Amino acid sequence: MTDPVRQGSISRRALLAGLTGLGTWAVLPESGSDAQPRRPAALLPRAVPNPTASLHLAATDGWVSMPQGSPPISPFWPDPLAPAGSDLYVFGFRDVTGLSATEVTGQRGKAQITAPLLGFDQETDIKIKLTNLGLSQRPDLVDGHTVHWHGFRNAIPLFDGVPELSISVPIGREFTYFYRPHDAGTYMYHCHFEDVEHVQMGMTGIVYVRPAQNSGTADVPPGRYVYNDGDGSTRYDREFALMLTEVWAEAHYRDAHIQTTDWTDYKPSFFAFNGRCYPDTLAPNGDPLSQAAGRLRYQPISSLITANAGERVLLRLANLGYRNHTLTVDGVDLLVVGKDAALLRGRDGSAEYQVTSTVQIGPGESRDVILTAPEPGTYLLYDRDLTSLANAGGGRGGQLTEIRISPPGTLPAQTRANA
Amino acid sequence: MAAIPFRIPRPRPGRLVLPLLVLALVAVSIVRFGGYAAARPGYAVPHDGQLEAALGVRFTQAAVVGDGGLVELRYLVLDTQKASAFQNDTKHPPRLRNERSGKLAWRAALMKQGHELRPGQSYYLLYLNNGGAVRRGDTIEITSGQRRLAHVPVR
Amino acid sequence: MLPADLGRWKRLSAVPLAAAVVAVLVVPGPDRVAASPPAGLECRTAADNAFDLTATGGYAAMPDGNTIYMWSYASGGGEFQLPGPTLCVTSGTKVTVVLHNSLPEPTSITFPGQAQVLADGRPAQPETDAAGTLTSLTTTAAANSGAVTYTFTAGPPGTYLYQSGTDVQKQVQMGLYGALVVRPAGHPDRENDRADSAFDPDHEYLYLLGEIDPDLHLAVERRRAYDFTRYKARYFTINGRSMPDTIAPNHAEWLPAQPYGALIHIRPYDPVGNPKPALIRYLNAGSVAYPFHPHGSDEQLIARDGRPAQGPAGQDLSFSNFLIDVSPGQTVDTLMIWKDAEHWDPQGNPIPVPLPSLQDQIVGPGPETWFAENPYLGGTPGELPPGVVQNNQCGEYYHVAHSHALEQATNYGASFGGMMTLIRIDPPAGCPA
Ligand SMILES: [Cu+2]
Ligand SMILES: [Cu+2]
Repeated sequence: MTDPVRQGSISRRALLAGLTGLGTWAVLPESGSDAQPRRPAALLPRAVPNPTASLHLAATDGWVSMPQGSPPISPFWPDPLAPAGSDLYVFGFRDVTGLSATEVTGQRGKAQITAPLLGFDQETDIKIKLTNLGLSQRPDLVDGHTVHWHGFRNAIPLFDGVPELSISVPIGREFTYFYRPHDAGTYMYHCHFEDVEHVQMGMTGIVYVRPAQNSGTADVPPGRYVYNDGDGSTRYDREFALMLTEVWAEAHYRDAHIQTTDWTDYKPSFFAFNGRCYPDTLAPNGDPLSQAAGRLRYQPISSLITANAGERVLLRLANLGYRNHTLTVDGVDLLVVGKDAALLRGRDGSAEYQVTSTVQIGPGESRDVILTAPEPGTYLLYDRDLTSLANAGGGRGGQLTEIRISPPGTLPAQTRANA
Repeated sequence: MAAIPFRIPRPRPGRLVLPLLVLALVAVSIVRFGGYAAARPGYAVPHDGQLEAALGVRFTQAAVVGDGGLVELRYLVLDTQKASAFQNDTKHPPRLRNERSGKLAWRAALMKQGHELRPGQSYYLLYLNNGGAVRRGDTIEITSGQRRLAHVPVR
Repeated sequence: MLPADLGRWKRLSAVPLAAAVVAVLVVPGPDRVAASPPAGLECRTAADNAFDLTATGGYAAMPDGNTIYMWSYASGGGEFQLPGPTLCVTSGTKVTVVLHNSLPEPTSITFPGQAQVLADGRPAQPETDAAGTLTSLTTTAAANSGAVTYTFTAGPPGTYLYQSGTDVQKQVQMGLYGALVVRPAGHPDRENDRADSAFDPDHEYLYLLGEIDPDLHLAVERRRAYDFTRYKARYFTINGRSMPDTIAPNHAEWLPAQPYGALIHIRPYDPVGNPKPALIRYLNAGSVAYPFHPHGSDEQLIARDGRPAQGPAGQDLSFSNFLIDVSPGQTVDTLMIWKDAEHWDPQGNPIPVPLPSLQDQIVGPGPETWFAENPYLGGTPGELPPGVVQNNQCGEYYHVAHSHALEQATNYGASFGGMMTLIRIDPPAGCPA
């Protein structure tokens, strides 16, 4: 929450305003959990319009692939209905920005997991159009879909994506969501239509907000920061987002085979980073529009972390499974700077950063964690819960990926997250 | 038991005092200390066999919730297929008409609670109580298509 | 009774009976409920902080029509209720809780977070059987009408569970739990002694989270054995209720044994008109962590287990959350506001994307409905764009708040139920009744 009483660093904030907005309040957060002083609530003219970002998402079903060679879970996995090269039925989002209407319709039945990774600048006017393409495997279902920006502060119900309290998008229709984020950090988004089902089926992704501070203030030079920290302490060189999910293969099978599921029987069989289980987590980023992408075509987001020694690496961690998970990196200290899209700093400015070797993340939580890349080599990032380190109960797998560190200067500057 | 040395016949009206006092004690205790269970008069929604046969559901409760902003309509599923059709027929969601004032609560959030409605289980609809259309203690008429169920008490 | 006795009985009874009627009318009970707000935390207080609890059986109603046999507490000779009454005391005062046991087995109450609890005047102690096996975490009241009196000095201000300490796995799951609220001396409008824990006393809420495996309850009701390795919770509750009963008023008549609602009802933050946050007290009486997710607003975690989030020098170590992950046995207190961040207004500051027309709303297939046609908080019909209809009471908003272990946000698997409630936000001027 954003507390009404906030003290300290007013001058800093005022300077930030002066630098970036020439005194207009359009660039200032209305509500800052970033340990910033708060602008009094008032209706002032917006002197400079915010930049706008438009995005088009499509929601549909599809087929993906869990690691080959995992022990079968008869009869649920591999799903006998799955097209060649795939083995698991899912629901998911696709980024169809810029595609023609025909091309968009052509993505029906081609969902991806996890959902596209979204990043926006603070104080951007964001318009996300959601088109419901229907479910190709289940034409009998009339399920709507929604976008719920999980954690968005001071939301109004219309854009909150809870169908029971506002709307969902019927099949063949579209709806445009509007967001003006004032609070930097790592959030997530997911469909909220029959959420226990649609979230489990794969309609989950990470969305993050870059702080206004990135354009520089009197105290910190322009750069890449996690939060409006005022002191540069959340600066990073490379960022990697990991969406933690679980796959209950039985429920996915039942959805494909027109059977019902008692969700209180929940018993996950696969544990994923960005919709992939180790060793698939290491494969490079893919593109669902590219035939060449192969077996992981509809799981396009890589979890391989690369950096040069000495660089500061930001991990944006979010959990949309239904179980707690605890991540660790062998031999590397982790600096936790944010939780739930809020800088870890008390209302009086007291530091709450935490140095640790394990980070526990509950369902629906996020963490921003910075590590300093150690000596060149390969380091493992994985779930401390060892049952989450298996694929369908067998062998090594699950929520595990590698951090590969190169000598200084080897890798060029990162151009986008998870690359 | 020991004998009673001073048994005195009492005038007739006095005979009523004790039962009345006992009744009064019970009554004020209920009011004061709030027994909520058996003390309440029975709540019953009228049954209509034809409506139940047509819709596959039996309405069991209309209640004002959400601090007066919402109306909950609860129903028991009798027939899975018919109940699913009822639940998915959003072109004709049931309407709630206040029999006292004539006001309507009609904007339902149709809670789709699972793909299959299990017979014998209860599910619910929530309505916006627009303009305070329905209040506790009113009776309403539930209209679903051509079917109607009158005198449903609201609690 | 002999007829001969009757007359005397009558004669002797009439006066005290009449007095009793008067007494019931005018004298508060040994402990009492200060007020009975339709929503919000309802305190049970006692002038001398002496409370009477009877461990007993009763029935809780689930929204899907199931009725569950529970064990919980009745207060002061009143009715069985789940959870037990919310006991409110002031830090540093002496508290007495007399536990009467009407259950067929020994039971007890532990007060986690309270120091030096006495049972019948002696330090409360774990109990063992003749073989030395632990049978209770603390001093018991014997089965079938035993009693024990616990006394302690109320500890640091905050939120605490009280719960059975005997056969915990079964008895706590059966419902033998309640909330103990310790208020800071002199500052009933603060969560703890810190000034920055101040909240609006009219907006204090209880989220006592729990779960139910109906098979266990059936086994206890029928006095059959139960295999705990088969334990599987199917119902997930806030204050003993599941959605939609969580949004029913306190003391809803259809929930006779579940008196506490969980609806949050606030107005937007305003530095002048509504400056104080709401306080939410989370308690976990279940067997797993409950990751609780309020929509529409984040919450500031200011205390855990009756201890403020502060450093050794009094630094504020509270933090902001959109997910409050409450561990079993833990309590968490949060401050919460909702701010009208954009002040959308159809004339001066309209929502910059097209609003679906009324036509769409009516013909939309499936459960695609417009619950809040009006996206403008408090907007009146005259102010709305053409085609947008006001269908809620006064332009209020509703947000959902629920467990994000989403199988817990179901009624035995049916979605939009279980551990879920609503946050209602009225326009700044309030909502006319
Ligand atoms: Cu969906
Ligand atoms: Cu969520």
